[in-house]
Amino acid sequence: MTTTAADQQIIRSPGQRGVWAWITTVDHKRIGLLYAVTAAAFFFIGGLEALLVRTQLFGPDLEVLSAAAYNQLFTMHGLTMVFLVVMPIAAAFTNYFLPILIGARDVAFPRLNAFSYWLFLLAGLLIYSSFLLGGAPDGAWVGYAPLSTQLTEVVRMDFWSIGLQLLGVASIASSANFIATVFTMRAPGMTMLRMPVFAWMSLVVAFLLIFSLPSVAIGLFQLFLDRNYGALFYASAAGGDPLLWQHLFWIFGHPEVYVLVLPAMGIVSEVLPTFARKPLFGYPFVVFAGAAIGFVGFGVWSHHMFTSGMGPLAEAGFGVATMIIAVPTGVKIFNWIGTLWGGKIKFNTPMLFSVAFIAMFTIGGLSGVTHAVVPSDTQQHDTYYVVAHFHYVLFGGAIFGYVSGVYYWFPKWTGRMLNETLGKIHFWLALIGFNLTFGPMHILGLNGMPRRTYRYPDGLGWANWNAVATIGAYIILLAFLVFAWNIVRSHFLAKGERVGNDPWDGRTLEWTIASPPPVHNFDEVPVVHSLDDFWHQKYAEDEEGRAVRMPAVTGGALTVDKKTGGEGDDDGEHLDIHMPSPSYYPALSALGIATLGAGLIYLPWGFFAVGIGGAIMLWGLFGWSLEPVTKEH
Amino acid sequence: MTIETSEVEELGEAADAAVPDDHHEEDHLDHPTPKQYWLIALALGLITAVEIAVPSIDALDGPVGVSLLFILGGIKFGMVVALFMHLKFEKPLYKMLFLVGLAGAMAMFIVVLLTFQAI
Amino acid sequence: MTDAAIDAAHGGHEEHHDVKPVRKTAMWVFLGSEFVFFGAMISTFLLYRNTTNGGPGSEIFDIPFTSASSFVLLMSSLTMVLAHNAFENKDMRQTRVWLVATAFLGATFLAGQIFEFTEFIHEGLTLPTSPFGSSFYMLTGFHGIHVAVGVMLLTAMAILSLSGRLYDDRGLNVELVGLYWHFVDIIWIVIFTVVYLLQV
Repeated sequence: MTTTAADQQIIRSPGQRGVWAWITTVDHKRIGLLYAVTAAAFFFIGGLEALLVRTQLFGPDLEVLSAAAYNQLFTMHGLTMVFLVVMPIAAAFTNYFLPILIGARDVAFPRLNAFSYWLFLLAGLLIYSSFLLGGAPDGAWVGYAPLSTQLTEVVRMDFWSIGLQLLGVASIASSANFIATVFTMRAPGMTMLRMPVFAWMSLVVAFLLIFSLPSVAIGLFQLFLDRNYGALFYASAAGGDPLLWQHLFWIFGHPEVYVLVLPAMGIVSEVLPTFARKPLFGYPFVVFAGAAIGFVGFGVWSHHMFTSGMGPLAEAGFGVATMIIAVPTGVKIFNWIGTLWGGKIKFNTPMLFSVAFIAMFTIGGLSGVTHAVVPSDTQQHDTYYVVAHFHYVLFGGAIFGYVSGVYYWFPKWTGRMLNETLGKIHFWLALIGFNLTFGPMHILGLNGMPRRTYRYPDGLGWANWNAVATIGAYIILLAFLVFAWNIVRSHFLAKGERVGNDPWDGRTLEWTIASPPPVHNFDEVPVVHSLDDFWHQKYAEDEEGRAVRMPAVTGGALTVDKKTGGEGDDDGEHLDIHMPSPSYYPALSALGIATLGAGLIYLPWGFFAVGIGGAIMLWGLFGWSLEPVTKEH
Repeated sequence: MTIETSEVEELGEAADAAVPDDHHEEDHLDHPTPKQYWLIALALGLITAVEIAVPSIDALDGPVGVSLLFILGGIKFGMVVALFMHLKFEKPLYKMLFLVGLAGAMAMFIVVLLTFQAI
Repeated sequence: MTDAAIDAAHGGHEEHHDVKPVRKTAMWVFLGSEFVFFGAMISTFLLYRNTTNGGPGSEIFDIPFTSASSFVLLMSSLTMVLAHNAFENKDMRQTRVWLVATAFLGATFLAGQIFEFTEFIHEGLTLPTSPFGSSFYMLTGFHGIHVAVGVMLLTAMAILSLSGRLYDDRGLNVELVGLYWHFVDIIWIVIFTVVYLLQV
């Protein structure tokens, strides 16, 4: 029955199709899908850039790329993967599932949510347009001054500073939105400590962004003023100090690392209990460890600057603070292992990626602890050892976690499963390719190979490991082509197995509603009685504590959505639920701000664009603030 | 059961308007009256006058004057936040959001200035 | 009903109406993050306050003049809170009067700032003069932009109130703009102390 409901939902829905419906949508699920698709596109572009970089480094003294192209590619690879892939894929999951997981029908500000997406997309396109306009940013994604303040007649780094600024505005808006959602939109009985871990991690991430982004925003403005208006913030000849940029950047940049990985930890914390068929071991510890990571994460930024000569006191302090972060992280890892211990584990693809996440993240975490030791870090600073470390955390960690989330929640998005065999091929190729690529970089780094290096001569002992790493990178490409084919095959070719509401025998609220969910998510707002409420509705415990399936799912609010299969519209109007109306003002405002930003790159003539963009922005914002949330019918 | 669930069916922004009126009034019961607002403003003005005088008094040169300026500025800051922004009468959540931002920003940037030996 | 009653007895200490006004929650979140925004600029200024690169330093500040404009901004917080009070009492005429007064005081402050900037430029302090100049203009300039945005919002609300379209369930409402306006004022209290008074 549920499958036909899903079928009809796609066919029916007048006024919900076409490009305009997507541009004006304020539905958190659609916005989540937009984020996901955009992030996937940027993932392949960013991956391609990495492949070109790896090809250049395949052997000694190669000249596959010019040095200038190499600089642009590694800069854009970092920029893309951090800001245009991992952050938006996290935003995709948060958008789609945060409201459902806490029993809400949408986020607190549906239109602000749409605005965040459109501004993110336009900022991404703006940054990438630089390839066609004289060259992409080439000062590394960290954009250290004074390198980034040189050559002001070439506008490459202006694309970077303006693009990041716009992405920051989008992130601040969506973070404020998610915080308001968690604090004000939870279903009855959904206390803070009954929220799924993923919702908790989304909240922590939103706080991290809210309190860290303004710092880099100021840094970026200062860089922009230095480059374009002759300000002297980072000009050492006039008494300015380029180190100030590093502080302002890393006050944002280090919390940013947790922004990238905490949502993946949240996903893993949802996947493991489902496939081990056991509750998460020590739920409050996992939650508070996540919050502690976020909190302490604000006090460690200077460990990126151990070689800048801050003095022994500051270095010792930041070194110790960095080591302290390993404690809550370790708590999480032990809790995940405790969750698996004694469970009836099913190794489906989501589970494989989650387990790999734990292993790879632990390796990356341990090499991270070695960076906290200041003398050791001085040796490793800016070598491939660092590259190995953060790829184990962000690829073997974060990306594996998000891929696990895609396999886990794909049936909820589309009503179809991804193919298990292809999934397993994807998993093993990705795991092997990943370790071949980044494992050898530890050795390369310890052997002294500097990062961001264009060419290396023969005879330094780097050639073989570099060749292995490059082969590994191509295996990763193969793995993700399998992944892409799996998605195309299941969804677009409609060959994926059709499933109902609850294919994994899940524990949380999203599995109580149809796949894909109706626009209003819940016919009746659920009333929550415990952590893993849905599980407790399905299973009781026998005297030995084993789960025993109850005869049928009962209970008013959590019963399966019966009405979506029936006649009539699916926008919930028949249930007297008023969803926010579509609006084009968010997209219009985002367009205005992006135009304004683009104009700033090309001063003084760009002032025309600044004026036009400003006018569009004001039009959008005023129209938005005067428009009622739900229009009368 | 329907009574409880209907209360939360309001959606985000739309819910702002749905806050029951009695709750609304109760919320603002303790707010100062217009007359009190004028008195607060008078106090703020007087403190500002003292602040302006401090740097020109020779006896208050050095750390004493600096501390005095910080204390007076802090009092003004606190009065506007607590009384004009009504934070004194607000939910703990708002206080937390505001104070975390304030304390966090101060702590981080004091450390930054310390690493530069600027303070 | 019983379910909810049990719930209230156990973990139900979190009342959902407790934090229901979503806009206000988001506004306080935004203000919290603004501390980091201004904190970064204030600490940049503190770092560079003596780095004058041969140009003018803090001796060019005209304390009596800035004190007067600080006083104007401080008093605009009074008129703002009176506007909010009148709005709560559903007195639209009073609300409009105080909104206009607040916008006027804000505009006066901005005029003072433009005058001050012009004077300083004549005396040789510009953005490219020194790190001191760069950080002074950036800090006070961004504060000025915040004031200008506030004046715009206040004016828009005063105009909307003429046609009776000033609602409290829209993004543009007296309470939220009031919070923003007071915040801009307290930031100036800090700037006035740290930038102007401590320099003398």
